[in-house]
Amino acid sequence: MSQVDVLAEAQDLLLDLGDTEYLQLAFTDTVRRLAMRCPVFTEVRQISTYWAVGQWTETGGTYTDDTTDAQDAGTNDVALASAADNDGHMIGASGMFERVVYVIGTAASGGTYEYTYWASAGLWRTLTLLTTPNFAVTGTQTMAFVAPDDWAQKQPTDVTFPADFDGNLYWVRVRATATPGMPITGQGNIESVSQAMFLTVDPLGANQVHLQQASGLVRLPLTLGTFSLLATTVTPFPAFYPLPDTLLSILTVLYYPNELEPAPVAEGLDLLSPTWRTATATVPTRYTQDLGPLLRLRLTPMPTTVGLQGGLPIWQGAAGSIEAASNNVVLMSIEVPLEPDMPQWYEGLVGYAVAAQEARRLGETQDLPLAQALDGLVDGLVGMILGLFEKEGVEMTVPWVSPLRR
Amino acid sequence: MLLTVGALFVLVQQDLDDEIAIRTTPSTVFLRHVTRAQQWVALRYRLVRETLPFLLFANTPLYSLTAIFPRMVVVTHMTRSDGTPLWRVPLTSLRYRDTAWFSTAGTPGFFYRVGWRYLGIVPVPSADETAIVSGLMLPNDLTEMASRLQIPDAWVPQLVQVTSGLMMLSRERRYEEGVMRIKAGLGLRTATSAPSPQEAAGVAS
Repeated sequence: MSQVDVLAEAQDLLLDLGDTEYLQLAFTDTVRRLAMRCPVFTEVRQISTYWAVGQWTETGGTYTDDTTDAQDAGTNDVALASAADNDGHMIGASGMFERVVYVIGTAASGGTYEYTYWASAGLWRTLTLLTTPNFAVTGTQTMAFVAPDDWAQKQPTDVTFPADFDGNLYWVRVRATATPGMPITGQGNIESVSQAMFLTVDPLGANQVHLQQASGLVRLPLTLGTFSLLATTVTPFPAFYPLPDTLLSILTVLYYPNELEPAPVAEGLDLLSPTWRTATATVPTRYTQDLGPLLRLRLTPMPTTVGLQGGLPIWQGAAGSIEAASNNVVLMSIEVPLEPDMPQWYEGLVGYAVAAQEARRLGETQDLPLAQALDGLVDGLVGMILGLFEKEGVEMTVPWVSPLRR
Repeated sequence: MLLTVGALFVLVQQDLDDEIAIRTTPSTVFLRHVTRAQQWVALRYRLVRETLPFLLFANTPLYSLTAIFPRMVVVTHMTRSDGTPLWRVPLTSLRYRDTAWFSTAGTPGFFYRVGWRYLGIVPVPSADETAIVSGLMLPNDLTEMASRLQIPDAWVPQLVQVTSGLMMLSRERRYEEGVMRIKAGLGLRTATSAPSPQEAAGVAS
């Protein structure tokens, strides 16, 4: 079935007098409202946190990976530019990001810099910055921008990567088009990139949570869409993950392989660990959902580790092989169903509710008794469905109520 | 012998005591309503159940139930191929057993639901095997007058009531009466309250 079928069912109840344009508008809103009342639609998402940094050498067009230095505790050990014109560095990540924090150890004495990203058209395009780092000053410097629409998770074709390096990432390149006077070096961790500024659902690929298809022969990856990305000004450890706007409530969160404990802010984290907002550790132990107009997942203590590039390891092979820690986030949540995912019984509810909304609307087709009758019918059916799921043991309780829940 | 939609149409006419009321000629509207009515009655009284083989893969914790059995609404029981039952547990209670429940491999002993879409196994199977699931299914669509109902004849009176209620709502504009018939057919005491699990269990058993 489809939206067309649902609206046909609504028109049956409206004697085909419903305003088609309005019914289409009401459809989306109705799907969301009913999903809140009937919270059985779920999604499982994987958030990967892989990122890489390395040197760009203009001569030969090569990338030399220096991610280990960038992510370890050693300071001032990542070269960001050389003394040569057009050399610089590249930053890649498995999800889009919007901010990079540098800690400059050896400052430049001059230089002009070019900021570009690898676009889906297969070329480097100018990256418009909101905040431009000053490589001539030591200490913390920030590069901030809005993720471009045509930013592609691809390996740049004009860059030579190390043989064993998978370059299919979102790339930003910084080049010193006029010599910086002397090599610039920076400190290790680029926390903003590593921990919070991007997240992604692992695209279709080899390393996936696998699902079983009807045939039993083919394994489907979790196909999860793309998260929206939000700019933030939280520093120095903005360890939260923007959540998709279809999400209603989190069921559970794992920092693979371990499940995290849910904890509310006011009566949980503030009491358990007053410093939770800034605490860091190798792996987190708890999660919470930021209250407010934006849905955000926050892990605490904020992890200082990153996940494997491919996300979770393949769930195949010998028992125990999956124990290799990957530190990726797995999020299970209640969501508003997308149209292709709506079950048939739910479409029936939506059809009745859309018709009720149209009957309630001011205008020639207003019919309040019909609206009232349909509301009562939907109420009864929603209760019946909830009773069915509760009776049969499907989990309906959630750790806490999302800000969107009415 | 299960009834056809055509036979049900006659019963609905009689129930309404007015052939004109449903415009005599069966229409796509009637087919849509009777399809929907059969679904509501089947879900309300848990009338369509199936037991099916379900392949578990080594080190695969989650399975897309909607991809495997699109018409299965709720899983009620699950066993391993040797008949050992897998016990249903709530997702958020698994952490008390093992915080690494999503990765710990072993012999399957429990299953959990992640809402409507996913079915998970704990411990994660360490080897491929075929399990067996039982669950409530959504009955098929009724697309023509010769289509046969999927629910037993014993439940036809309820189906007639729900169908005629929907026809009253949509064709006759007798709203209150229509909703009352639907409520009666589904055993809902009021339009705004669902049957309790005990009531539902009593009816189902």
